[in-house]
Amino acid sequence: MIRIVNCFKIEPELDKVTNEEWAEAAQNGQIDLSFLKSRINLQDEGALELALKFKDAAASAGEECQLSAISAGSKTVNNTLQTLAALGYTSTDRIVWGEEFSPVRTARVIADAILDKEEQDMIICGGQSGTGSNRSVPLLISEMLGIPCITAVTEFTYVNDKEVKVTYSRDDMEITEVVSMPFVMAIGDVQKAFLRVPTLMQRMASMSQPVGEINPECNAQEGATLKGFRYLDQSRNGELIDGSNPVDAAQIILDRLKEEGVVK
Amino acid sequence: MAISREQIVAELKNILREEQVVTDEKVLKESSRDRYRKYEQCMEVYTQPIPAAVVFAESTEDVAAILKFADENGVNCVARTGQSAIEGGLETAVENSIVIDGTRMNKVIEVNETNMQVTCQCGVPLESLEDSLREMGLTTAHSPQSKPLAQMGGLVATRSIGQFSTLYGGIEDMIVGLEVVFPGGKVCRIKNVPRRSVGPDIRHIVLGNEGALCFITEVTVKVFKYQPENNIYMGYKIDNMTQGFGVLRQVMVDGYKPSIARLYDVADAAMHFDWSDGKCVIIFMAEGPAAITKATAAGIEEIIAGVPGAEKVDPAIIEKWFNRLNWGPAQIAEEREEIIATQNIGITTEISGCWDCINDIYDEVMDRMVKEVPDLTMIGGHTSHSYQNGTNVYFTYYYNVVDCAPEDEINKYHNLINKIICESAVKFGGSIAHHHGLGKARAHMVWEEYGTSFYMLETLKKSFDPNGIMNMGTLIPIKHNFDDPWNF
Repeated sequence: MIRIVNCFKIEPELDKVTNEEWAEAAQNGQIDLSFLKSRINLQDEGALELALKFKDAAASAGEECQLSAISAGSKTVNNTLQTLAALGYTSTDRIVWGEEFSPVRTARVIADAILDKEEQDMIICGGQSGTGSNRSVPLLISEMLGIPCITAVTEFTYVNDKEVKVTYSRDDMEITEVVSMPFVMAIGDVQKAFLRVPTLMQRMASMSQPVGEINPECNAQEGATLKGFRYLDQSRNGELIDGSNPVDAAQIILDRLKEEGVVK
Repeated sequence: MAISREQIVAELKNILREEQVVTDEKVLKESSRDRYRKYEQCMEVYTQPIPAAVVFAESTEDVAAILKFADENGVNCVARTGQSAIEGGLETAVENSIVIDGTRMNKVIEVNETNMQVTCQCGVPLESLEDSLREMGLTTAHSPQSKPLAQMGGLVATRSIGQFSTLYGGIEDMIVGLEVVFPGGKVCRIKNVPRRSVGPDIRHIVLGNEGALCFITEVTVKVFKYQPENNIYMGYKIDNMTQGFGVLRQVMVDGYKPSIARLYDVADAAMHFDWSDGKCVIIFMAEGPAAITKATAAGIEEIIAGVPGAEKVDPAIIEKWFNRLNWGPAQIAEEREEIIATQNIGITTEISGCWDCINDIYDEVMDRMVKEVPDLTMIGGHTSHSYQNGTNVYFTYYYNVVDCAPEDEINKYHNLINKIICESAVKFGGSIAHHHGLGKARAHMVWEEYGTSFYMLETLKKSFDPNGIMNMGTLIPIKHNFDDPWNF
């Protein structure tokens, strides 16, 4: 039996906030995101789908794999936890917790939740969230649990009940190694890793599985709170150039760069 | 004797400039279908006859010359502009068809601020037209979800409707005059007048013809004052659809004209709103002069006050959500990636019905879908266009494509679902298509939809297109399996 726990985050679809809204919010020091639909953090979504694929592969090799999912936040998270239950996650828990900007405190409550479970073989997190964006929670969890952490993972596959083949990137290189469990993984940018979708039948079959609630001793709001933010204008201009062949096009670009003093 | 593919291309190059005639294989393959075969598009499987050429018409004369040649030689023609069709209307169902693309006919001919109408060529993109009009303090008031893609000719040809229809109506309420070309190259113009009593309203021969009777080259539509500063958004959570249909009916029957009136069921609401909390959602926008919007909003508030359990939502949330509702090329590309990765596909089918049957249609579809459709992952619905006598329902559904070759998906899932929805609409006296058109898909229920009035449709087709060269298979199927109509 291999036990895997996915820690994931639900976050608002920030790409739907317009530049004007960001600029206005920066002046006010606050932004209203209540109108946005939430979605699973993209790296977490990749992590969840990779875990399901791992489970499928393990099952094909005759190995049982137990998946658990933990998230934190408001009741909105329950919808995703119910989806995961329908996809075969046998334990789904929500840490009752507000928005948190302290990675140490976030890692602590997650680590505590994991410690309350049976011993886990793999703890899988997305590498970075869209809202917190500190890239440190998986590393902190591994430190708190006293097990290694592999970052920027893009793939992991079943080898046997003790080992996993892990692919990760380092300095633009892709490295694949066979790693012994237990360990923590921080999933990086997995290409086109969309989470599969359960059927209505699967949803109905899992309806009796409750979403667990974990009430941490500390309160999210006691830590760092959002005081304000700045708007960074990262807009780019685009211009269509009319070159009939690559040489002409390159010449036009070069002339333009000279005009603008970028090159001499 | 039918002329060959090579002869068709050669003759088209004589009629037009060579550059206007495209025979690139990839373009031809992509032009053989529309988003009705979304899954086949994603999987890059082509099941329809590949057209002989895509031609880019640049003038009414071009279109007339092409249709003259096609009519004389029995070559099927498929008209298109923005390519946002989703019912198979753009499929080239006949071998060696010509796809006539009107996108280069993209000039705004006149904005007449006295008569409050705009005249433009068929390939004018709605979004750019709307943006320019808004800078002048005007609006077309036509805002379909396909606005980033759709162009004026296609909007008229498919009998389009926009999100502000409850106040402004569909394209049929906005159209003033037209220029069209019939098979043989006959050009007809219908002049711009506010109303006339000179026999049948012949604009309706053109409206919704889906390229099966003529090619639309020019349209004149009404424009309205753009007064967004007066808009009032309203949103409420309510318990169920029966309650929601009742609210919509009362709003309409009491004489209020919100521009937006949308009712989402629990599943569809959950797709859009985190805050719906397992409830239905009903949304309104009052639009127009300030005094009217205030009165409309107050009237709707009063009606909602009588609904047990209705819970008001912050109007700012509704406004911001609504302003992000449209989809364009970026969303389509993103959706494609997701479909390929998950093999989960989402589609919509919209129907309409009077107030006394719309709830029955909705209930029957919901019941049958869950029982009869395999691998269903979501079924929901919303209404978005209401009238004095009824409303529409826009069914939204997702399913996983399981154990199925890409070319079989259409029959295993999509057609089965359309069958359920259309059968339910007909059973209770509704219509099988509210605004997407019949295309080539729902054309297979044209007889049930039209009943005895099919005679009129068939007569129009035979009269205006006697040689059968205009988008054959659209509106009236070419091949029809009477024993199993939805298996094609």
